Amino acid sequence: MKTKLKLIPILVANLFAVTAASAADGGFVWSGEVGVGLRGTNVDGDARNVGAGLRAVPSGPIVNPPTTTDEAKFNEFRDLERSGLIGTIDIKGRGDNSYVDFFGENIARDDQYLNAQGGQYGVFKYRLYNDKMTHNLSWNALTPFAGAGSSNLTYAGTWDATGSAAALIDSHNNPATWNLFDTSLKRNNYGGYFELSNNSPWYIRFDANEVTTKGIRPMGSPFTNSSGNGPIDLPTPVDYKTRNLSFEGGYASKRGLINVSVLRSSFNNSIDHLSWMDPKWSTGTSYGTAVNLLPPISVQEKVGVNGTLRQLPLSSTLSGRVSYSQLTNSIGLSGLGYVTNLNDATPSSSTTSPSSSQFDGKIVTSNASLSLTSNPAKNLDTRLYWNWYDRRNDSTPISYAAGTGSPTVIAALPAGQPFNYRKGNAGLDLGYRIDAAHKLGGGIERKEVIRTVGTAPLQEPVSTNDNTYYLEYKNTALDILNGRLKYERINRASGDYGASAATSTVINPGFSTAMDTANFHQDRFKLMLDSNPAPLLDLGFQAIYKTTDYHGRPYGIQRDKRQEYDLSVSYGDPSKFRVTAFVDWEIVNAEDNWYVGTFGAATSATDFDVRTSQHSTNKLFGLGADWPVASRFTLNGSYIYSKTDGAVDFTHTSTATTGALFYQGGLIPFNTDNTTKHAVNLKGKYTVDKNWAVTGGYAFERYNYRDDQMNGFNGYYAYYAPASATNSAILSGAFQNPSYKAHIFYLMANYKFQ
Amino acid sequence: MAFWDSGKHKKNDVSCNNCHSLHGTPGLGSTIALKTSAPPISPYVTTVRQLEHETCNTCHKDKRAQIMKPSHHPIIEGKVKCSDCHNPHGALSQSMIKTEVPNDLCLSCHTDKRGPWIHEHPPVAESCLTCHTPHGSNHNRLLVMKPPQLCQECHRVSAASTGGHTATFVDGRSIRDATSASSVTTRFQASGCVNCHRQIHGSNAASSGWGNAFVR
Repeated sequence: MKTKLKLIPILVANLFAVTAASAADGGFVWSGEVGVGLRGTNVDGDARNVGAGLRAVPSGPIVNPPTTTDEAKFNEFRDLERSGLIGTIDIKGRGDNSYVDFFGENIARDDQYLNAQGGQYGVFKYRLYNDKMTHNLSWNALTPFAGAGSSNLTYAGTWDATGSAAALIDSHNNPATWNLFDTSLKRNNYGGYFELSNNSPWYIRFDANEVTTKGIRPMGSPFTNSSGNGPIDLPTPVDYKTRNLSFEGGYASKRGLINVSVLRSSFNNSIDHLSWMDPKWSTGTSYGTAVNLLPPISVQEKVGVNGTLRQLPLSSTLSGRVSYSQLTNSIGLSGLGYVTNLNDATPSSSTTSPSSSQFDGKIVTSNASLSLTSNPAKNLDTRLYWNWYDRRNDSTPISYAAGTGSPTVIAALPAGQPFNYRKGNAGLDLGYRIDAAHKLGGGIERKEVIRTVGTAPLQEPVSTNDNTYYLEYKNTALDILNGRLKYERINRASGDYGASAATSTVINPGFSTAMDTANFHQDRFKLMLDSNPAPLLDLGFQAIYKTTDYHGRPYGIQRDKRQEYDLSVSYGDPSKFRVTAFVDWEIVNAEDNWYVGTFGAATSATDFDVRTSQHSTNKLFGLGADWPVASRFTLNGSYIYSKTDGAVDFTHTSTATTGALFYQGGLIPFNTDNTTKHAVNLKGKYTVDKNWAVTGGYAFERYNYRDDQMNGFNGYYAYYAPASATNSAILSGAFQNPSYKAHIFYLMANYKFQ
Repeated sequence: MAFWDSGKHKKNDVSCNNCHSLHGTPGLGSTIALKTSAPPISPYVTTVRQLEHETCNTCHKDKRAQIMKPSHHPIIEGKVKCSDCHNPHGALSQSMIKTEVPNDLCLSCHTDKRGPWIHEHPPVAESCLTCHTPHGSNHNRLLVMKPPQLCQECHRVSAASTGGHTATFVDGRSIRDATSASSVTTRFQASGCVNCHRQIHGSNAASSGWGNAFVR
């Protein structure tokens, strides 16, 4: 709020300052529009646990947490929570030599936007802005802790950590008594720039902005330090501040451009750790203190040079860029979370000493790029390009001695493994215009990524090579139909694992490879059509078909197939009636092979292969229309229907159909991300006279969400991992059911002047 | 326009008036008039400003579908513009993004994820796009796939030889319901592996806090 109060006078002062400066600017004209109105919303979030009682432990009593609703999805990036006054202001001043604009909307709301900009043509320009954003993640989640939003989460009473049914008598194991909290972030970005060129080819520009992010985000964590003890959802405080300062100066002309830019970006987090009472590490009389570290501070400094030289032989243009950046931080490792077990009733009793009392983080990146575009022959255009990027981790290597004291559960850990990589790609694009209506294109590219780590086996291949080839054809010969067809092939070959990785049972590239580096052949077809078959009628169609066949590895991802189809239709006369519709349809299938049991063992009841088949779809239909009903009255509206589906299915080769790994004889498929949304948006505008207009609207939204993975993600219950119910899980219910139904009404009066 | 000649738009014969309405009136809060397919099709948004994606989606139709998926950057809400990440007037980088590589772009806003970390997760350090898709996803957090399947694409958690996570292959039997005698495994639920390994982008926690496993 303080920011807003400070910024608004600055932005308004901008108007007066420019007005004064423009007094001598002949013909300066003001125009604008001011709107004031009311908006009302009515939203009903679906309950989280309808029909889903929670079983405290296997065969134990069912406990129902309080039924809470979550309306965050409706408000995800919109401040619609509060009904009331809404308004916009848009003022433009134009003179022979200078201009000024001021715009504001959603003033004093969480999605406020204010912008002032202006300048003198060819001499200078500037901008000041404030852009707020709300990101509502999930509301009315549950926690047994007090102090949500602070850096210290506490219990008021005692905890029975046995996970037994008897534990339910303890109020802290009873979700009905837990506290509610919202996971929501408020982002506030304010800044501006000033650019001076003074009617010369030279220019300088300064940019500055500050972004603050505050709120609570969800964070899961295991009890003690092992996921085998079950997880707990923690309301985690967020209080970030990022400041960016940059300078750019250069020379620009028709012949070319060169500039130098410098950036300094600092990230600060006023809460560097979250402490919480961990009942699983209690001494019986007191709780252990658990610590989760929050994002560390950092400073990025970057310098870059860009250049372009035009009008070279063969109508060529040469462009290039070099940049260098370093990201640093410095963290003392004497704090609780840096040396201790993080979960200990007496933290000093289980210390693992780091090899240095301070971690000096340093990530250095370097980049160089070149691009040469030419027309070496009539109707032939070419682009030759090369990019090189190097990312090096020069941070202090930190190793740890074995844990001391009691309990001593931590073995020594060698120094953290800094990850470095270097990426280079080079390619050639060719385009040949056969005639005015036909164009052929093609190209090749080779990309290589080389990775290194410290002393540990690299869990990815040392190098990955991608070879890309494409062909395309564009046809504009027909009056009523334009088309473009493109085919692209990528071959990826990875290899050169570290010697120790090749023989490791944990990392064995002969059997599995990380999905982002696995060998594959990928084919991609893209068709785009645009047609005007009749007056006032436009059609557009796009289809993308992509298959990726991974090869050479019996396990890991094997196949990925994606299809996307997009159709648009538009018809109408803007002065009478127009209608537009679109349909989008996406289908994704992926298959993976995995094994269960002892790696490399013969197929048996306990050692077997599993094939996972993943499927997801996205369907979208939209319809929009606008209709000038009368000379002063227009109506427009739209309707959107969207549906997503997802599922995971399994087959296996086990010789058994019963046992701990199976339930009712097999591996059970499940559904994910099944959503349906209807959105209606209607608006009517009545123009009273040349100055006044009244706008009214109504919107309706219905969002349904269903996901098997969210069933029961709420409350306290025994943790199954695996087939063991001796541990506990405490889950907040965040994101469990974001379904909602909402109505929005608004009425605005707008005054326009010129 | 420094890199116009190197950009895909020039290569594909896109000209100024494909996107700009040269004699049009800028919309509220805008200084330039962009062409859009009319009438617009949009859910209710709290901004009256001209939305840039309506111009871009005229050609990039697949992106229209993606930005309306349940998990998306606030593009349709007007808080993120296509030109925040891409330079439509040309760039040297792939997909005409404004930085050298995707990570530099993502971390310019998501500064809390940039580290540096004592314990790095190499795929995170190399490319955010290994796990996230920027325009929209059916899955929470713009993930390309849903955990635990996403994590299992690299980590074979069901292998006895990997230690720790033995016999936790997750399938639908893990679904919790009121009548089942089995309780659910939270390695399946919600964020899957990330329920515990939440510091998946990197950690500075001590080895005793399993910072190297990204749990603290």
